[in-house]
Amino acid sequence: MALLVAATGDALAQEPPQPSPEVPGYPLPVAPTAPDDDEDDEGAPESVAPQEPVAHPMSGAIRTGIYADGDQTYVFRVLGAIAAAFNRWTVSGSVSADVVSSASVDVRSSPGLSKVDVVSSASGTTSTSGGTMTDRRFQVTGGLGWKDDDGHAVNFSASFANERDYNSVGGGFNGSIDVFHRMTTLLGGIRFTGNFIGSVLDPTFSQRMVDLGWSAGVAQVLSRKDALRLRYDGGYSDGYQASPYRNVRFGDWRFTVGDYQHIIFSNTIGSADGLPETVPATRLQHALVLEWLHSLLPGLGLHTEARLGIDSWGMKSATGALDLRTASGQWRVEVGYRFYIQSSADFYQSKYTLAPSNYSYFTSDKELGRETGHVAHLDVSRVLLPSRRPGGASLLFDGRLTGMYYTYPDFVLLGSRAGIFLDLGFTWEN
Amino acid sequence: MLATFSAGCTVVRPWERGELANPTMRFQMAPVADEQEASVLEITEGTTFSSAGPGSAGAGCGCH
Repeated sequence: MALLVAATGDALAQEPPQPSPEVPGYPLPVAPTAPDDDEDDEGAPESVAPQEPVAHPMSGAIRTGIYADGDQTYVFRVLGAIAAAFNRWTVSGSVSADVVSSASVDVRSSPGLSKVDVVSSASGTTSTSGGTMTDRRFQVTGGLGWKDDDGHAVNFSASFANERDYNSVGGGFNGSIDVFHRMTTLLGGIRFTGNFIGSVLDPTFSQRMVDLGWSAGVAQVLSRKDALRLRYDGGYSDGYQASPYRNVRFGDWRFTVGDYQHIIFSNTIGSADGLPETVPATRLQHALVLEWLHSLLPGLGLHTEARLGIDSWGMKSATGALDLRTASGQWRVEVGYRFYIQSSADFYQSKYTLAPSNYSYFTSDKELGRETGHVAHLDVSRVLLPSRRPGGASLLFDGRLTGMYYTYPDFVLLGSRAGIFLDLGFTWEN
Repeated sequence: MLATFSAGCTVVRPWERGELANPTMRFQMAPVADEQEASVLEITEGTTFSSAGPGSAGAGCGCH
């Protein structure tokens, strides 16, 4: 049910100088920082007078988000996060909750979920009624980071998430090292997640899946106005990767929409309910990400990103993104556009026209078919209460509106989907 | 790869990094908002996952 998932908010601790504290489990170093001391300072201008350091800098954030799309899915999220620094150490944590309501084609075509007045799970709070499913998700994260003044940093993280039908627990670490006059940052990380899958329709349903992710890369200052980051991300998943709610119909089927928008299938081979989807138990994924930062003018920057992905299910994807940013006085504004395109999995078909025995795998997951996406966002931040002294508290407002449009040329039940995501929050720090 | 990256790069001294230190020159200028948006995209797109690996954005059966 997790359409929206909390990303740990301890990135909120980040402000200049770079590199900033990382989100646990997200090895995403920024451009290498300037050294605090070194042998190459000949000719350097006089330094400014030192400021009195804050004993234990702290930061916190609260955010709320609303997602809605044309596939009748709505998500409301709240998130709180806090981080505190103790000398070279940083401790962070976050809590988030999502509430989901959906009458998507997946729900309305599911033999179980689309039934009216189905109430299941021990508490009975996860339910479907009239072809709409509601659920909630909680997540907590914790992180511990360490860094020195010479460009060495390491972060450890742990997380736990709970849904009615899904629990996951994960942990990982990442690190970075600045080298070559701090012109270059080497980075890497690894993360493990264990998933325990159930079904709100069947208390006896129990499956497991493990995810292993890794990342390695390098960030490089190219000039006074340019920085580059090249990263390789990999992932390996082993276990149950299908959905217990999605069924596949066979034959040259047709469909109509009945009461409560329930999708009714006809002209099928075998039962009109079809069979639960089945996909390979293992999946190996690779992605190469290249980012370029360019300063057009002081306070006006351009961020571009290109990503190529490939996996063992035969899927290939390409992503391009462009962000234009400005920071002036109390304001920061970013406008961005992102394009995404993917090919289908080897085993994906719009219709499995033969009997089930002819297929090793079959799925009705539209996101395993061909897909094209356009995503645009506007992000506005403003300092509401600036710090009036070194180490004083400051308060920042941040709001982002994201619009997205996806097409699914191989998916019969839904050709396209448009959605919006509004994310608002406040950050304080001292 | 390091050699390639470093080749031709003039050393940029600390006092020459004024523009690089500007908030617009971070790979993530609004990291919390970026992560929130990324969590939506990871579930919406078939091959997108974060640098933390697949599954790091959370679980769910992908019912939507």
